[in-house]
Order: sequence, then structure tokens, then C-alpha cells
Amino acid sequence: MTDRRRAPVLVLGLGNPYWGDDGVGQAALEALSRRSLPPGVEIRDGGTGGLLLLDVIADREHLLVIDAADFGEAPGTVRDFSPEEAGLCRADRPLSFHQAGLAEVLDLARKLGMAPRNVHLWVVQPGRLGPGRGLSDPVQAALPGLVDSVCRALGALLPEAARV
Amino acid sequence: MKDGTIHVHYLTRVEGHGNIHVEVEGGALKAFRWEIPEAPRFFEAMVRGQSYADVAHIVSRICGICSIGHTLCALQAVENALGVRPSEQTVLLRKLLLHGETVQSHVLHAGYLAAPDFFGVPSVVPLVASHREAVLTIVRLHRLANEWCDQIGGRTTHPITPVVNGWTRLPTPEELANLRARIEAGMADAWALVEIFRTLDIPDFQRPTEYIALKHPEEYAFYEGVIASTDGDTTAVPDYRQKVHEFVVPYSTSKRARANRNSFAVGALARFNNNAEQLSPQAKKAAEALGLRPICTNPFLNTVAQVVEVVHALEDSLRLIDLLLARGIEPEVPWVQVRAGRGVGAVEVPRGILFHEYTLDETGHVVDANMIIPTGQNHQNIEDDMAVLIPQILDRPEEEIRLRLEMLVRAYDPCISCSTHLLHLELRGGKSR
Repeated sequence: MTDRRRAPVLVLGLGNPYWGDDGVGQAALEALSRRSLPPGVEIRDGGTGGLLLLDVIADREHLLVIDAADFGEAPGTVRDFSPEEAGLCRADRPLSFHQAGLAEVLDLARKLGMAPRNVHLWVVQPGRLGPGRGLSDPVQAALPGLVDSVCRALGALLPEAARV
Repeated sequence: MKDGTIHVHYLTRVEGHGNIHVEVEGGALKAFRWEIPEAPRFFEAMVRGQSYADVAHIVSRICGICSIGHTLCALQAVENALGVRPSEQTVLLRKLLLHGETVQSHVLHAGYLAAPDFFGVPSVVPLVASHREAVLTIVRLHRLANEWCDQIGGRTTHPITPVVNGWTRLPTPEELANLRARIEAGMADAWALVEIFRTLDIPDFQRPTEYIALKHPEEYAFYEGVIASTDGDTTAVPDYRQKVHEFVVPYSTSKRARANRNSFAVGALARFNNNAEQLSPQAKKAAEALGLRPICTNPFLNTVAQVVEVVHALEDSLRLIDLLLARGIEPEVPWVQVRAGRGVGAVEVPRGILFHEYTLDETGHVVDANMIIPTGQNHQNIEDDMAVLIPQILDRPEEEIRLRLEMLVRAYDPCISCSTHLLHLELRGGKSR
């Protein structure tokens, strides 16, 4: 089910820009917005909206998410994967909403038949989490590579996105 | 239950984390606590030294759910500190935006987080199969509210268009007329939500409580008014510290508050109990259909009061848009003269009354800030409810006690911490870069 008023490709940045490296999602969106992006791509700051994101991600063809995540590697390490690879699909678990909100939102969207056909996530290991704006040096240094990677993925989606 | 301990670690389906701890010995309640183990927020410190113009954008990040309320409360407080009185147009548009957030948040809570309790299922996910139409109604209302906030605030959450003394972008009359048509169409879904809640079995529990909310002579107050209590007293917003007294307990990092009694409640039920007479005509009908009458002292009905407020917010927004269209949208420049001063703002956000206070120096930079969030004001009341509720249900099986207590906390729609979030992952694959 695709809502024709909606851009078929959504790049969603998550996190709180006033909590150090938790703002890496928004920083990546800012960098992305300075590049030339193909038509049909929407960039959106999802903040820490949790379940509020259900409607935001609904009825898209492709969802690309950029977020900070603790996966125990060196600060600034970037990984990208599908939700299945990340163990994010936890069907029928109660909605807890604060930490793994995205997993539950995706699960609910899937059951409602409004989930994006294709989901891909980029996560960055934070170096500094705490009050205040601005990224730590290793996370700042990881930004260009992260944005290149997202752009390459968008480029690969483009022929498909243009067909929708 | 027999002797033992119930400990609900990280209660689910609330915004954030909270623990419930109950100890039973010799068949009697020995001890219980409602614990908030989350790190305290640092936003009061973070805005110190910041310009008056940036405060609202910063504090909008305190909460991913009530970011519009925090924005508007901060703007009010800063405007009061600067001696600025925004135009009628600005105030009408702010009320319209705030209604959008009320619908957004109430639908989220009543529909996705609280409803599973009443249907006796662990989450909304099984309801997709068993009550698909109900879930789709909730999804549609949610989408309407998101588009509404996007249209007026420039974004679904963390709005960018509202600024001190005005807006960076005003909606056109066509956009307002279009929004009006969508809200009017959404009324059917709001009534469908009323119908869903009309059929649900809600626990019967009463505890005399002080309810505090904004009160305004001309409307069901969300954006402006005086601080009113169901005990009969009122307090001017700038004197809020004389009414709301904050304190801390050792087992919880969140501040609590009390007023006339040991505790008080804020939120939809508190607003309803103070202002029910001023609900819109359809919302009054919804309250009647749901059997909600002031003064209602059953905290489990807070969710039902939220449903009534969804109807009110939709209907009152039609009135606000008609007023805006009748007077015409006037271009305005958000002009401000900077001066030193202290200002307080108070706004009814979905979870209850929110206070922001700022002291600015002569260059318009913040030297001091204080914020009292609704959930903090409800914490002691939740614990006081538990003190009465637990002995009443102590003869039931442990699982039932646990569920009932979880349900009580969830009825308050607590927003324990949205200011930070971090995904914790266990990676089973993916490419390293």
C-alpha cells in the first residue's frame, strides 16, 4: 500500500541533537541536504518520537534510518544492515518504546500492512553522550563516509524510486 | 497473594522507564515504591547562557512526544520576561497547534499504549488481527494529527515555525481551509474512538484527589489561564511556586510535587474535573456517552478523559480556524526589544500542566531556568493511589495485582524520559566500515 502523496523514499535521522553524539542522525541529515538528491527522496528529522514515527514511516517504498547505537565498538564506527540482521524484529513483544522503539514501530507497521518494502539502517557508535550540542571528534570524522554510504544506497534505489 | 515481593522492572508501554516495587509480609502490605531510575534531565542547565531566541528550539528536545507544548511554554515564558504580548493571530495559531499535539499524543496513548490493557492483551500488535478496524481508526487519527502539526508547526514534532512574538511561516487561508476539511472529516474517527472506549471494562477505584489544571473564563484552558485546583483555590501563573512545591525522594531521580495535600494529579482528568463545563458541545456528548462526570476520582479514567479531549480538540480547532479565516491571515514581523527580566509560562500539554520560568540578562541571555513537567507532578499521586489500591486487591493472584498496578501507572500516561534515547543492539551481521 503506497500513499501517492508521500515521497517513496524516506531518510529518517533519529536522536537528540542536544545530547552529544546522539545527534549524529540530525548531523547526517544536514550534510545530506547539502548534496543533490534524486526526486522522490524525503529527508526527515524523527527526533525521539518513538511510536509517533509509525505514521511517518508508513506507506513508503524504502526507509533509510540513521541513528546512534551502542554496539560496543570504537567511537565513530559505522555499520549498516537490514533490521533482520540487527535482531530488531521482535514480534509480539510488548511495546516498550523508549530504546528499541524503531523495532516495535516496524513490527506494528508490518502487521498493519503499511511497512516500507525495504528498510536499511546506518548506526554510529557514539563517543560522547550527555547534555550539549556538537559531535565528538571520532563521530564528526565518520560523517562524510556515512553520508557517502547513504548517497550510494539512494543512487542504487533511484531507478526503482523513479518508477513508483 | 502469599507473602513475597512483586517487582516490575522497566514497566512497558510508558514513555521511558519506571519500576514498581511491592513487598507483602504476613498477608499484609509491608512496603511499596514507584521508582524512576532514569538519569535526571539537564535541560535547565543547558539553556543557561543561551539567547532568548534559541531557548524554545532547545527545550523542544526535552520530549519527543510533547515537543510542541515545551516550545509554546518556553515562548510564553520568554515573552513574559521580555514584556512582549503576541498578537491575537499568533495566539489563535498557537492554540490550533497545541490542539494538534493533544490529538497526536492522546491517540498514541489511548490507542496504542493503554487500550491493550482494556482488551487484556500485552500490546497493540495482537489487536491488529482481533480489532483491525479499531486500530486503523487510531492510525487515521494519528495521521491527521501529524499532518496538522506539520502544517502549522513546520514539522510533525520539534516545531520550527513558532518563534518569540510570532511565526517564521504563516499558513495560507487555503491551507487552513484544507486542514479544516480534514479535521471535520476526522470527527467520525474521533467518535469511533469514543465507541471503542464505551465498550471497555475499566476498573472501579476511587481516591479523593486534588486535581490541578489551567482555568480560563472563556474556554476549556490549554494555552492560558490561572492555576486552578478542585480544592477551590486559584493561583496566578507567575506565582506558580506558591502553589506547586517540588521535593525529592531518595529512591527516585525524578522530582515530585505537592500542593494542598500530600499529592495532586494533573492531566486530562484534572482538566476535565476543573473545566468540564467548557468542553465543546460534541465533547460534552462524548463525556456523557462515556459516563464521565466531574469530579471523577478514578485515575483509571484519565485515558477516557483523553478520548473526550480528542473530540474537544477537533471540534474546538474548527472554531479556531473559522476565527482565523474570518479575520484573515495578516503578515507579521516577529519583532522583539531585548531587556532583562523574569518570565513564567504555563501550558496544558497532553500529560498535564507544564511550567517554564526563565530569567534573562539585559542582552537577552538566560541566567536561570526552572521547568516543572507534568509527569513529575503526578509521581507522588501515583504512589498515593497505590497505597489505597494495593490493600484492596491484596487477596488476588500475584499476576493480577501486578497487571492492575501497571495499568494504574499507564493510566497517568507518564513520560518518564524522552530527552535521550539510544538504541542498544545485538548485532548478528552487517558490514563494518
